Amino acid sequence: MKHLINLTVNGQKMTVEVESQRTLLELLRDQLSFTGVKEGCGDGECGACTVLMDGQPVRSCLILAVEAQNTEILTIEGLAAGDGLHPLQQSFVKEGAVQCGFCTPGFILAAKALLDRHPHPTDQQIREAMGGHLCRCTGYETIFLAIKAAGSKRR
Amino acid sequence: MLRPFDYYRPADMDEALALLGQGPEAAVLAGGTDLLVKMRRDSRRSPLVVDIKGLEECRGIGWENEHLSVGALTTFNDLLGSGEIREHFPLLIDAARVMGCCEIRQRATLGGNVVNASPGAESGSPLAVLQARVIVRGPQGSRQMPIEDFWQGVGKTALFPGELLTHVLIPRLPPGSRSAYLRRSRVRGMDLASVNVAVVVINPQVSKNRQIRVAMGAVAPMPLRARKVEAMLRGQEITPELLAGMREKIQEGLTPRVTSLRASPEYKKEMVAVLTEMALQRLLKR
Repeated sequence: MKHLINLTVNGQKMTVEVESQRTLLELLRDQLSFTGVKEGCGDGECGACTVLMDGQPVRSCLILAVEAQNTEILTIEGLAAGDGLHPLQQSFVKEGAVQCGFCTPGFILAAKALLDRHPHPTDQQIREAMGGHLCRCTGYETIFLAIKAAGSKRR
Repeated sequence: MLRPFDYYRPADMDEALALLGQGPEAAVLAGGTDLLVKMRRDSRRSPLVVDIKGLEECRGIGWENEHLSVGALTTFNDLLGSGEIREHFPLLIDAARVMGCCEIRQRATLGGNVVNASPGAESGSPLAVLQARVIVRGPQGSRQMPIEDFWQGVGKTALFPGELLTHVLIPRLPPGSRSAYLRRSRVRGMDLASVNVAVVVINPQVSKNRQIRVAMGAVAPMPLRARKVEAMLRGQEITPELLAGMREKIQEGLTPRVTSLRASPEYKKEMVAVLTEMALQRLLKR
């Protein structure tokens, strides 16, 4: 069964045709080529497929594409304005919080949503926001420091 | 990849019930955080997915007489943001805070958590100990039952094909009551509970009027009230001897399954005793 849906991805309004059984992850990656959205576990456990839907972090592997009707989606591709890096991306680079990079888009988008809600998050709030994201390279400490530094820069 | 299915998003209850009446395999989609996982693993197949997020009557949290009515579509983030829940049922806040992770809490609904009927569901033991009721809607109208009757086994509920859980009703507790939810998990990040305990204390300050309710999760096919322990503690001065007796009594007859991926039966039995004592100590502090 096909559906025509309207949504906004990274500020761009669009109408796309999707099959009922397509996930939002598949729509974004395979149909729209936003390959910054990663499929890790496909079960909602790892956080790699995290995108922002109407400003809130969600697992795009656990949402049907058709459920994105009339929503605004932000992927890592839409985070920075122009050619520069977003402050969170700069902070991740500076702290060495990226190794293989597979989990990075999910962490950064979850961190953006956190900083939008709490511009100066506590350590506990940072850990809670990171809680559903797996990284097999960094040991998490540099990611924590990158988010913390980006949070304190906003003061 | 998911197997092909048809997707509908009914705008009202009549339309939803008509769609669900089309066949027993119709799947209800709310937050999707359990359903999509099952469909991907092929443990659930359905040619028809009915997205109920358009049903406004299944939203909202508000008092109706002496019950707090919580719409089935209430997400865990909605619970965390609710002043009524925070003030009257803080154990549900304890549970919602550790349910999944930020991204899951944004989508996962209370109704879905109840209908999924997982033995260790974060909302399970809290709703059991609160003596919640559920409202179910079907082609014959609506019916109500205690949540303990709604759960009938691992992943099994009293829902008939074509029926829908619409609300959870939580009875008001007497003023001054206290409640807590405690659990153990394997890791500090996102994990399901290995074992959990929910405790309500009514009249915490005056031991002769005191009532204590305890429910346990992930030790039986369904969340389980520890009624013998409740009877033992009722109206009693809490002494070290009584607590020692409680720790033994609460493990009596418990046979957690050996095949659990998260904890051994011995650990679970020990921990329900430990967590219950910790909860009591926290709730009975002056």
